[in-house]
Amino acid sequence: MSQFSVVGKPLTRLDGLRKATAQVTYGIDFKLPGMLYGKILRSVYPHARILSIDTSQAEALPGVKAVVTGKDAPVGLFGSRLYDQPPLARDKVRHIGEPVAAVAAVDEATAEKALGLIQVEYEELPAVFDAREAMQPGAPIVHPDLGSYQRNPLLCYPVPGTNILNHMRVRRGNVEEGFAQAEFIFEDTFTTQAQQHCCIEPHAAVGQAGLDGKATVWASTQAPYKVRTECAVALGVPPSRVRVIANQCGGGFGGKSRARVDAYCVLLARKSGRPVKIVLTRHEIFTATTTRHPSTIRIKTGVKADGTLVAREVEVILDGGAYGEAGEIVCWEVGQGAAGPYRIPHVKVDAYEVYTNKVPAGAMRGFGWPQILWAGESQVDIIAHKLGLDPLEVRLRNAVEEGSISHTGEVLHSVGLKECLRQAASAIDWEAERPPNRGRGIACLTKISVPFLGSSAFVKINEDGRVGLLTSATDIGQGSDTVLAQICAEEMGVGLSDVEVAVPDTDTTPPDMGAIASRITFHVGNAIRLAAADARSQVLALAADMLEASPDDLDLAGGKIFVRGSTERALTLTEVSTAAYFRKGGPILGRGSFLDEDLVPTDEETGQSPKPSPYIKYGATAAEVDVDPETGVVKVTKMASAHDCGRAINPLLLNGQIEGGAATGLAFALWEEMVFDGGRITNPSFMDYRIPSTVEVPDVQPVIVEAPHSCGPFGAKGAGEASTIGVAPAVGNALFDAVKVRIKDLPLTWEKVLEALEKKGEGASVAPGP
Amino acid sequence: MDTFEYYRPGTLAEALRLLQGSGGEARSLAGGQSLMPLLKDGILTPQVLVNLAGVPELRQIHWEERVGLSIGAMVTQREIETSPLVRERYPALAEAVSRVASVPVRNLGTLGGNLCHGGPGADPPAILIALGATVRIAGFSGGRTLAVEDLIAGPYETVLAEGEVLTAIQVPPMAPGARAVYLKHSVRAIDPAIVGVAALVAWQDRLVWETRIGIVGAASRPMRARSPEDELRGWPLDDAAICRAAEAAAGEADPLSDGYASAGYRRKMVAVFVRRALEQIRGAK
Amino acid sequence: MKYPISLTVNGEAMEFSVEPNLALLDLLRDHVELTGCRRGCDSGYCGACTVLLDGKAVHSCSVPAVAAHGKDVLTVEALVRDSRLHPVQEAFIEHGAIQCGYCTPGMILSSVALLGENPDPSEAEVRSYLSGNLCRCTGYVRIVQAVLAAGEAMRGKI
Repeated sequence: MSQFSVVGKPLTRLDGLRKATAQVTYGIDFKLPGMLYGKILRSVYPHARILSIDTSQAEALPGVKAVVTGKDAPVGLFGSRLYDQPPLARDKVRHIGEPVAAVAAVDEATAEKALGLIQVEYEELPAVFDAREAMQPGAPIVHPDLGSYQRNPLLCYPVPGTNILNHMRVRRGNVEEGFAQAEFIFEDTFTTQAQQHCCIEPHAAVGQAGLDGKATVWASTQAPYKVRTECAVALGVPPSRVRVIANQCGGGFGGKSRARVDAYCVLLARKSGRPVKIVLTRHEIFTATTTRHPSTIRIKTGVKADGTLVAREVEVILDGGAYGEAGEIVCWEVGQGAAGPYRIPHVKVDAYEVYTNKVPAGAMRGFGWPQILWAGESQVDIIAHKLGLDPLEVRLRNAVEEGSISHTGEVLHSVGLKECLRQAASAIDWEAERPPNRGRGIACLTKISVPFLGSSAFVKINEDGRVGLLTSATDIGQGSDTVLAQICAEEMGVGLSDVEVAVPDTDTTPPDMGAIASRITFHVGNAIRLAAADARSQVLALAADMLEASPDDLDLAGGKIFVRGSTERALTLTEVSTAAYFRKGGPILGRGSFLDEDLVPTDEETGQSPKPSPYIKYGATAAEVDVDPETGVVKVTKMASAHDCGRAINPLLLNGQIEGGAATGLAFALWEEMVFDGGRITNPSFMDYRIPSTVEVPDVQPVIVEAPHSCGPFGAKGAGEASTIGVAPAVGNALFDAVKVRIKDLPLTWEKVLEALEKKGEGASVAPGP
Repeated sequence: MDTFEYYRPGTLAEALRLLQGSGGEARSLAGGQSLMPLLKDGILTPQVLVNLAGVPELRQIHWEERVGLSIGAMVTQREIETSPLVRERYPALAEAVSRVASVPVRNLGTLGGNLCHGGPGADPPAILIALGATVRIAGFSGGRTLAVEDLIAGPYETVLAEGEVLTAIQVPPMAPGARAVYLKHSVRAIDPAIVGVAALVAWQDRLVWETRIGIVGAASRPMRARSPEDELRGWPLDDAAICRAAEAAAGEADPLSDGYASAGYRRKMVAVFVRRALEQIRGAK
Repeated sequence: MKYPISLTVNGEAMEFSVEPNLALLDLLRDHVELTGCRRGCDSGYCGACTVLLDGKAVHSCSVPAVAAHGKDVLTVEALVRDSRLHPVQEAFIEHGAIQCGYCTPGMILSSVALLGENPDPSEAEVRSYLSGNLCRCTGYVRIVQAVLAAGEAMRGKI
């Protein structure tokens, strides 16, 4: 780390001062003169045909300036890799809360009143709320047109005529052979619940759109270019007619990776001729945005007596809700990871993304991996305990390492898993004495990053020698502005404070596919390196001219360009860039774009590919718990989260990411659950949906392990989601270690724990036999 | 939220007149911490809101020998939990009040407002019952006094009639040597109690002479649990007595199920926390 | 029907004419245009709306503006004096206690109130005091560290 000047240093974030003094404008803060306020009318049925919509009374209400329905956005569907979602419902609604119409009025109260005046005639249809039921023949079909939807065939394999929008298969070796060779076989089924992002800033946007087709959106988003695309689809214009400017985003976690309100803002703006602002209420966010996928996961594993994994067969059923919402990608990813980060010769995975008539499940920090690792890593402990082996040792015995072959046939590179396991265990004193009712648990975590998403960057040298960094990466709190600026500063030989990070604006900053999939450092970082190299070569060319030297004899470092070996003949970066302005009329501008070129799509039948995704993160979570056997309370006394993120560009910010993700992972394990009654969410508020406070979340110890990735900027991979992933199984395993109860259904509520303790007391056996 | 008429009277008489004269469409505004979310969600739509913050006698807190503690209904929970007077004489009351929600809520939320809201799982009723507290209610037809356990009739429901105002909470002096404890069992610290148990024990010649047990979460409203009390009175506070009391409390409980816990779990927790509360009292002695 | 109210906001006396159903949060955001107090859950849990009312941390989403008549309101915008940050602000920046920043002003104000009442809090006391300010980004670890450090810095100056 000390080999670099800026990269690797725990520098305070660039926007810290602005945020500490509230000198930032979040999406929810933004306003324009003449602005109207929009509200959305939503379906009250989980599945129904729309027979008619009469907006005349709403339009006649004084103060109402525009009403839009599906007729105003008649063509085009939203989606990530499967395009199945109309901006506003057309012929039918598929979940309670689905947008049916939108109103813009002079104030929110009038808009709200107008909603009540819109008459919608529905014809209810049978609905399905359980993913397994939805997979049965005869189940109500949520998307009869599934076969005709546009999709990316490299990741998405729907089964038309059913509710399966993706079926990801991984086949390696022969599991039947594997099970025959095994000395013990374990079969367990696990379930997980719906969780939600609960960004403290509600979704908000302001849209402006003229009759000439040009639209502008001031968004609070993880992905300005995605918002641009979706608004363009809604308006029926080419994407570049839409300009998206990113305001500060108050938390994303996957909940703001798509346009949630932006399309309605521009539709209403076009119709009313005035800017329109929409802010979602917390109730709307809970009931009508997206959630983490609830899941049912069945795992059958064959092992030898010494703990060597021989075969693993996994069936993952992801309850996707009414629309894909990137769930098709979740399915594709978890198919690859469901057997765990282990060397297993025989693997068979079937992952299904299934439609139901509930609020859509989509992207949420961890993206399906918390669910599959909950299942897989809980079972590893079941196996270890049954065989009388140490759970840490079983993992170390089987864990992948540099050069291992993955379940998709990839030769793995940059694999710090074992080191993470050892360090996480050591951080919580794995070996120390345990008093009664105290237990320790450990779990691997891993995640791939989404493929085929590119990034680009411009590096502009200003006339004052300071470097402008133009990307469309949004800093949603993870610190990407600072990390990317550090990479840029290192490449340009300047200090962090000499870099000016531009606000993402799709008219001027080059494309980026979003702050999702933990991809920004890797992809945008690489694009910046290329752009900086381009800028450097232009700097050297001009400096060579000015110094009458050859560019090959020049070096750029510490803000100076000098002839190698001679400190006398030197120019500052400022002198060179000023010269560019005066001699060429413009700044030195470097361009770079990056998309991992050696990616190979997975095979549809077998999931095999020598390189399905840009990189894989690894890590381990270790937890120590105290269990109160009379109440079932599980108190986490220690938690360590170790991560191999390749290289920590900024350890201070990385630690913050690890700690925050771990808190969300712990909440997934213990406290948060969206409770459904059929298609209706029964706890859509911060009172009834319990996100943890300062009192509940313990100290988390972040551990950084570096196994540099040859393709990453300075070896860096990504880290944003990882720490959310391994917490639940670590806690579940610690619970078992403490009081010998195994619970397979999240969350681990006090009541479930107590019930399990009582059953154990009655002599019910828990672990399956061979 | 819908709008309403707003008044901030300077005297209790004026407040009563406003509340009485609005045909049932008026509500008192105390700290607003429970009321505001209900107004915003349209669950309550009063035509008139009467802010009691301007009535000075409702903001008083004082102690008198032989009479005990008198807390004006508009004293905030934060004032109570930090009051040297309360912390010295009724530490369990300070403790229980300090467990309500969070500091910002307690900075405005009042004890009177908390009681009148009648929220299931609210902490103060349990300890007030255990301390033998009463509430003073003013109305146009005169005043009345109720035991705290008789104030709340069910979830979010009190026995206050139209136009009545709870003006003070009165806590009698604790008997010499008496000890009281409040234990809260909840999911998060800021949540209402799944079960909250308060117990008071006073001894004479090493036998339990006086005892009161107040429980929230054991029924559809805060409960004075007389059957465990009956198991304790006249006996030493030993394991056997504590065990009998815990069992009796669970037997008397008739809890509700909700998003926090099932009735069955609550019943078990009643036994556990009655036992723990009594053990803690015994330990402190 | 509108009611006249007067209150002091960040040291400045102000007068308004407001409907009684206007929350203090909206008065501050829309009428005074202080965006540091923020809408998060609108139900008294998240604390993004925290302001100091007569020196005490409160959830401004749950305070009718009319009830704030005659009172003193302090928002995060008032913490900077003569272009110098409050020690709590400095500590938050230095300790990496800020990520998306949305909860930050509320957290900072609650922390300022805490240290005003209890200049040398324990970690448990800090955690308990801040339970009315929810954060989804940080896991609170660095926030708690920052408050403890700010307390130390402030005690050093007394």
